Amino acid sequence: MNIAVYTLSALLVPFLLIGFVQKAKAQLQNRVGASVLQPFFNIFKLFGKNQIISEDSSGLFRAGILVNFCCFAYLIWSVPWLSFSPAISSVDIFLFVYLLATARFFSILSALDTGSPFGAFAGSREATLSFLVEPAMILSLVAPSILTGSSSLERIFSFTHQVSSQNPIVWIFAGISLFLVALTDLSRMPVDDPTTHLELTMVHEAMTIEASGRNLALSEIGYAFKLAMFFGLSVQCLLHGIAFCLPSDQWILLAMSIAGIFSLGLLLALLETVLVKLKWTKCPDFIAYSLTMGLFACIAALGVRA
Amino acid sequence: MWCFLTSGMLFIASILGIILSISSIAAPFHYSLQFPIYLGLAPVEFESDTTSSIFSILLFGLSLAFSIFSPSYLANKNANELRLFWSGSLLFIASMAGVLFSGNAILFLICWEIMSLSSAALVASELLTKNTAKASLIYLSATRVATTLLALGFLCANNLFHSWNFSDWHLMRQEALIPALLITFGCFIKAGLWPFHLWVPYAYFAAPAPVAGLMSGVMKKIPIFLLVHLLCFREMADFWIPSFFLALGAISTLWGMIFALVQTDLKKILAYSSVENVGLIMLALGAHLVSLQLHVANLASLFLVAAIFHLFNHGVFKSLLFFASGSIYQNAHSTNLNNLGGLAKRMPGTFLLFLFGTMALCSLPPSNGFYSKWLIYEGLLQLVNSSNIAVAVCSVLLICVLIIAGALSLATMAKVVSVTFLGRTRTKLAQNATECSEFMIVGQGILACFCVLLGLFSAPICLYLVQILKLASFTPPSLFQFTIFSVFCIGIVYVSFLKQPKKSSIYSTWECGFGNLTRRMQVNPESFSQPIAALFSPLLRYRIKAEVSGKDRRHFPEKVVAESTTQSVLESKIYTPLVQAVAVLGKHINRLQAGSIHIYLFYLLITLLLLVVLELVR
Amino acid sequence: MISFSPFMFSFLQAIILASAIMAILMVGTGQIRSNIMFYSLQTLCLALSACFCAAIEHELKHYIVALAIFFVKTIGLSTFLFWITKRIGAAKDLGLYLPLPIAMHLSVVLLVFAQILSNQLPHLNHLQPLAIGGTAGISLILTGILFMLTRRLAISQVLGFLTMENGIFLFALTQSSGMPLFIEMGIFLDVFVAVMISGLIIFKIKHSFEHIDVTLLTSLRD
Repeated sequence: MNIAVYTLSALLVPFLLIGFVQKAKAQLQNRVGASVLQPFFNIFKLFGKNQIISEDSSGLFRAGILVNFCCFAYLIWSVPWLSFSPAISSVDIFLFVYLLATARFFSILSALDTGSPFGAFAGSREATLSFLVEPAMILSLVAPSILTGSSSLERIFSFTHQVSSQNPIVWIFAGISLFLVALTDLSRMPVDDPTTHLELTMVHEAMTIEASGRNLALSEIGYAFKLAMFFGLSVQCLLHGIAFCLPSDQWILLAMSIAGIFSLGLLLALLETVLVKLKWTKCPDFIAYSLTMGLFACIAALGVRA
Repeated sequence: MWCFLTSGMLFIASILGIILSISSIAAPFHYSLQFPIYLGLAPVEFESDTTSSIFSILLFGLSLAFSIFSPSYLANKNANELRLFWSGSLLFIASMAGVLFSGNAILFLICWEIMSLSSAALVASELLTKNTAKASLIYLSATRVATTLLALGFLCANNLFHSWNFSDWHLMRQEALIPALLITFGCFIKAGLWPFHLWVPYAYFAAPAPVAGLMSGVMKKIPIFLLVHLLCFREMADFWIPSFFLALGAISTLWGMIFALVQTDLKKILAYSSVENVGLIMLALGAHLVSLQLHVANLASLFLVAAIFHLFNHGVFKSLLFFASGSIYQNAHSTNLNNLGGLAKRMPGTFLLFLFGTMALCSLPPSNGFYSKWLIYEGLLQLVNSSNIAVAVCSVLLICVLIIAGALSLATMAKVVSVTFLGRTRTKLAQNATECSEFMIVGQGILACFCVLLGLFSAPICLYLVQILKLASFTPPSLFQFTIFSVFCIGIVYVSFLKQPKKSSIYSTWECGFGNLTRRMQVNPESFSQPIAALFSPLLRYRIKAEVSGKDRRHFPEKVVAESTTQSVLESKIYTPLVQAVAVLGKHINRLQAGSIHIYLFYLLITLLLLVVLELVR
Repeated sequence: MISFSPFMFSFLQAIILASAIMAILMVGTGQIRSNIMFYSLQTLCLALSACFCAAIEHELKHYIVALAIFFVKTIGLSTFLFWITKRIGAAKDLGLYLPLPIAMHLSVVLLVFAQILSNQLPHLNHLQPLAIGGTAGISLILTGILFMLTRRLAISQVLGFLTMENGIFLFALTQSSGMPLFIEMGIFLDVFVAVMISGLIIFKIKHSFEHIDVTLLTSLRD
């Protein structure tokens, strides 16, 4: 039963989330927008399309996209991004960060494999962003792991440990930090604009510029998984922050976490409507805020332990 | 012909050495030569214990790959160069084995000295084709200083404990702080830790690739062996030495990677990355000492095992990468990234093996490099949870430092792999590159096999290390599920390679409708690393000089020249003035040696008088 | 002394900490408008915590002080500063000595330092949960100094000064149940007048030097 519900939500929520964000954004900008189900159609269409491969690329191009996809497929199965215990296995926080790094490494390589200057720009920027964002990511995961005394993600987010009075601060800061990290790592608005028409200014979209057909579909699926996973983890953190007034029934928790993910999606759409893209040299200033939130979370967690 | 004979002999000797070291784990040997040769203060004696056996497995494993790889690498060298290379490297390997198995300090120092001198000769061995004199001199002076500090430390220790045997020394005691510090810093210099890492890029850049592999794979680990032998396993009386380990280790992890990022030469990048890895090992040893002080035995053993395992891994993958750089140099005639590109299609075997090494260097999950780093992370996290607040804050910071260094190494290696192997070739020279000879592939392949085996059996190997080092047991994290997953993943990749999709066509890279992309329009190493380098510009002294000229400068300039420069602050601000000061001092001291016999007689008289007066006063 | 539920106490602690956190977040950005916004949020937290303290200790004067903070600082000063910024056209402070993100991380370190420092101090107040106010107060003072150190523009100097003043107020409020009402009001008047005068001076500087960069005013020392 659990596994069936988990599978279903892992297959549905990521794509619905992307469709939902696009729809909400369109509505906020007084447009009608595509249907919420559009990402499914897109992916089906891409699987049927002809794929074009650059003459300069080696076999690494396709292998890199596949490895990238495999990493996210593994993570969506083993990271507790819903209030459920995952189906396969538990992942350690460091393994989580390094798996993301693996996916990133191979996607950079496949972007550079074609010798395209756009892909190379994007790859270099992606490497820079990951370097800036990874300390914040690890701090926001280390803080709850200090509280719970375990490094396994499943045990950190298990809703069983006792709630002390100062815990909400730690969880909420970790949640905010993870959300900011997600904005950067998923190349969303203040850092990168996913809807611009110019390849030179984009990060994620320019990395996949040479991918087409099945390859593009795989990298889009990977991106959807990553989005759902980051938002899910951030929602889990926030839910733990208010765990003292939550019911313990697992179905209500599941419904709340899915609702939380979609409300973060709404927040994202709102942010993307209001904010403008930052100049590239100003991005570190924005990312510094996520690191500060992570530092607050860690300090609070150390304070609780001491 | 004799070249192949020599390498064959080295091959057999290496296999014998591996067998010997494995058997000596179970039954340690002690062998002493009493009568005919005596070193004045101590006998010539060889003995083995568990740590030296572990290190010698690494040594002989690498020399096995070295013996297969080198003959083809040296194919177009003349007889003189060959003679120097083989005599030097045989002496080098033998002296390293001597250091590992020496039973007392005197023999250790002699072997250490032979090791340093032979490696310095090897660094200078391509003197005629490349300008290696400066590199060799810098390396030589660094290792002289290291030897001096070690010798001083050994003398002090002998003074305290009245023995030349390492087993009689108890450097963790309070009164042995001075010899312990001297030995520690001597080892830091030889290992190339942060303020003393200056010789590393020079020496590895100048040395022939297989020798550079051996130097970074084994020789850099010998000082760590001495530190493990003398300082670890026991609780230090004071906190100075552990904090030196932690601080210098953390700084060199970051510093090494930041400088690796902006280099444009493959061998220099690898050299700086080995500064990072030695920093990581030292950091783990420091954490080991700290957790011994906190009386957490299982954490201490975790850190020690992590340090030794990482040292082993680094030895394997770094020499793999150096060997690969050798085969690139031989076939594309350059290791400068600006001259390379598109080698994946021309040298597929080397590319695949290089990718293995790269994954281990960036510590990406299924590889062996990840596991040892993971152990260190886990240990640091447990250190946060089980100790006083200062240590907890420090270990959170260390986790951050390691993560940042990891991200930097990812950026660096993504640059290296893509600029070397992917895209199009950047020069005509590299366009004619072909795959290297089978022997070179086999030599690298052995190391890649070691990488894979160490990665697959990482948890059992760590448990075995715990057992043979007689440490407190801990439960190492398991990569088992993940390994199954990665096998699964490789399976998917394989299947999808077999099945080329029907609807697929080959076309040129997207160029915005501009026309053909030339090979100069690709990313170059400087531009790839510019965004991160700009963030570290005060540290790197990073400057970009851009010059735009022509009539319409804004839209259609005739000529655009951009050049980025970096400069090492340590080298220009500290070492250069220091060397100049020493040179000036030397000039003044030089006056004492006037060449006149009367003045020498005068010195003699004064010395005699001084000695007599000293004796009278006592 | 009414009985206060522990939940309310932790809420009060959160508000007190929030003021310190707002100050830290203020260090991280060079946009003057966001700086002023963070400052006004910070004083809002201050006013709220004064209100809570009044409810805990049943003192009328704290209510008055809270109201005064809200109207004078949160609304009055912020609007005034917004207006000055608009008038002189200063949108952005480029920062001095340190990159602003690094300065923000440094001020987090200063928060830890403030915690250690306030643990050493004797507890003047009988209310144990308010001990966090000492930490937040010291942290506000230190952050204010750091803010002034890492900025160029005169208007940022005023903001840093105001942050320091908030720190002193918070420290006094939580550690010794506040200062007498007269002194409190006197300080208010002083601060208000000081900001008005410095606003005028900024106008003057802008008028006669064409900029408000304080680092370029070193030649005025004679």
